[in-house]
Amino acid sequence: MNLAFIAFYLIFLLGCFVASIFIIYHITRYSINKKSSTIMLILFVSVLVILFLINFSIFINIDIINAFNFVSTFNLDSSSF
Amino acid sequence: MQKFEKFHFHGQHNGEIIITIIRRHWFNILEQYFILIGVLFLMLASLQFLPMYFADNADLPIFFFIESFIMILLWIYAFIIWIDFYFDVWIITNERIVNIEQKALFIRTISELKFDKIQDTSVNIVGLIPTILNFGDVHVQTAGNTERFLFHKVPDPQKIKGLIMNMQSMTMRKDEAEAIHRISPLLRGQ
Repeated sequence: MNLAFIAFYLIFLLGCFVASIFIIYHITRYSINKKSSTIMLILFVSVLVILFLINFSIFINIDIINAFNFVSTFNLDSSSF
Repeated sequence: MQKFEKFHFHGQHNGEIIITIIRRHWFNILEQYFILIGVLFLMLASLQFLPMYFADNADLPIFFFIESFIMILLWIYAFIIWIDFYFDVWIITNERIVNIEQKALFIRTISELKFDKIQDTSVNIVGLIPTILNFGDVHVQTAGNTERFLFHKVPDPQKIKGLIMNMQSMTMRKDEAEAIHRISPLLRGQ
C-alpha cells in the first residue's frame, strides 16, 4: 500500500510536470506579445512551484502506514450539526 | 497601429502592419471558469468545515494532501483553458486577416484571407447576454466555394465588420489605382 501510494504520487508528479512543460512551451512558442507571455509565464511557474512545495511538504509528513484509516475515523454523526 | 508595433506573429510578412488583434469576448472564458470557481469555493468551504469532523488529527495531513493535489490540478486546468482562449486570435493587418485557432494543446490551425477575396460581411448577435455585453459572430463571405471566414464570439462585432469593410474597400481602390498605373503607359502609347 505504501509503495502504491508513493508510485501514485510519482505518476502524479510526472503528469503535472509534463502538462506544465506543454503549457510553458505554448506560452513561449505561440505568444504574439512577449510582455504578456512573460508575465503569464512567471505567474504560472511561481504559483505552480508554491503549490508543489506545499503538496510535497504535506506528502513527506503523511504517516502512510495509518493514512488510509481516516475513512473509519471520519465522524459525521447527527450531534455534529 | 502603433499599439501593436511590438507584436509579431509567425508568418508575418516584412512590412506587414498589424492593425488590430481580436480575441473572443472575456465572458467566453468566464463561462469556462465558472465550474473551476465553483470547485474552488467547495474546496475552500471544505477546508473551513471538514477538519472538525476528523476524530483523529493524525488524519488531517492526508486531507490537506488531497486538497493541495486538487489545487494543482485546478491550476493546470485553468491555464489550459486560458491557452485555448488567449491563443485563439484574429489578426487584421494592412494586407489580410489571419485566423489562428488553438483548438487544443498541440492542435493549431492558421488560415488567412486577403481583403480582395471578401465579398460580404455580416454580424450575428444572438441571446440576452451577448446583446447586453455586445459580443457575437462576424461572418466574412469569400469569393468562390470556400466556406465563410468566421470571427466567433468577438467583442463589438459591428466595429470589426466596419473595419473589415474599410480595409476591403481600401484594398480595392489600391488595386484599381495600381491597375490604372500599369495600363496608362499602354494607353498613352496608342
